[in-house]
Amino acid sequence: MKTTMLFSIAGIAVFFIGLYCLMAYRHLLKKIIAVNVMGTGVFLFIVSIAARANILQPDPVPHAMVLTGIVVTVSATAFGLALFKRIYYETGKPYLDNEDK
Amino acid sequence: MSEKDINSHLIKRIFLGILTTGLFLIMLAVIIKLPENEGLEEIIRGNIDKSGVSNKVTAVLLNFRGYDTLIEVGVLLLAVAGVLSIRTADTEIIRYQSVKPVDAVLSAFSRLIAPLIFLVSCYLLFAGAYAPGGAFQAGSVLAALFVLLRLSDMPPPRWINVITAGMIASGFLVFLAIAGVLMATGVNLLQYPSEYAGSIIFFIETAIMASTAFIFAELFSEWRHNR
Repeated sequence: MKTTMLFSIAGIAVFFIGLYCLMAYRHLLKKIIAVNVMGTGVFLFIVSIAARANILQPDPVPHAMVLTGIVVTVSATAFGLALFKRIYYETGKPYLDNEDK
Repeated sequence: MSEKDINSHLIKRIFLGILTTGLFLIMLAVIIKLPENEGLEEIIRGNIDKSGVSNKVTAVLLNFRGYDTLIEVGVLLLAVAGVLSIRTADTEIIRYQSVKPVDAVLSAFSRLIAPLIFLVSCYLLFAGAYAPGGAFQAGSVLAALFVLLRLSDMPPPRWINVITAGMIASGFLVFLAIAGVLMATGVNLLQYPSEYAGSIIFFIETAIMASTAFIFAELFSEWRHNR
């Protein structure tokens, strides 16, 4: 098995760990962190895919996509945190009420 | 929490664990069979001379797929607009407590390291042309400097408040203006004439760096509302 395949598998594993946490926990901060973990898994996967044909000359297009993705993740996280702060201020609870307890 | 609640919680977690593990295995079966593919590496290597920069990722980011980056800066602008409209002065969970008297070590250290951080961000901006680096990395480092100054109780001068809104929008507007001017000369969107491509890219990158720094500082620290 090639090294890049190992990174691909690790990326997918990180993605599904994030997905599990996103669904399993009610606390909104945990959900925001989970989405970030999922994103990290996707980035690792894309970068490993870029290098699978030739590890010394990786495809730069996926790298540029990952760079774009990181910046978008950062801004989405900031937006999520701002929403979280507002929800906490309005309801006093760090989770959404309509979810079953 | 009653015993019944704990049980239903446990059942939910076990169910989710089985579900995600199953999805993981399906994905695993798919990616193991992925065919090898050179991708676009060779095409980009063949055209790198026309792009104006020697770093392939920067060439893709700002020349070959410049519209991605244009829209990305637009997304940043939207995120700032969203955060600013949701955020009110009251939503601050942890009110910023200024340390008085100001911690001597923190203050001295920040003064020492601030010019260095600025230097690093300028280096990253220039390095983007031929090595890993570029506008967004430089902008993030600069934003970290703003956040550090905020945390060490060194508020920015008043005129920063005046220029912030303009700086936040400047990256997108400069990029859009260049795209518009180029289109008016009869070429495709963001198709740079190859003899000026390097200068155009550097100009855009400088604008994006300054704009990204202000955007990230605004997103994460409310650094200018201090006084």
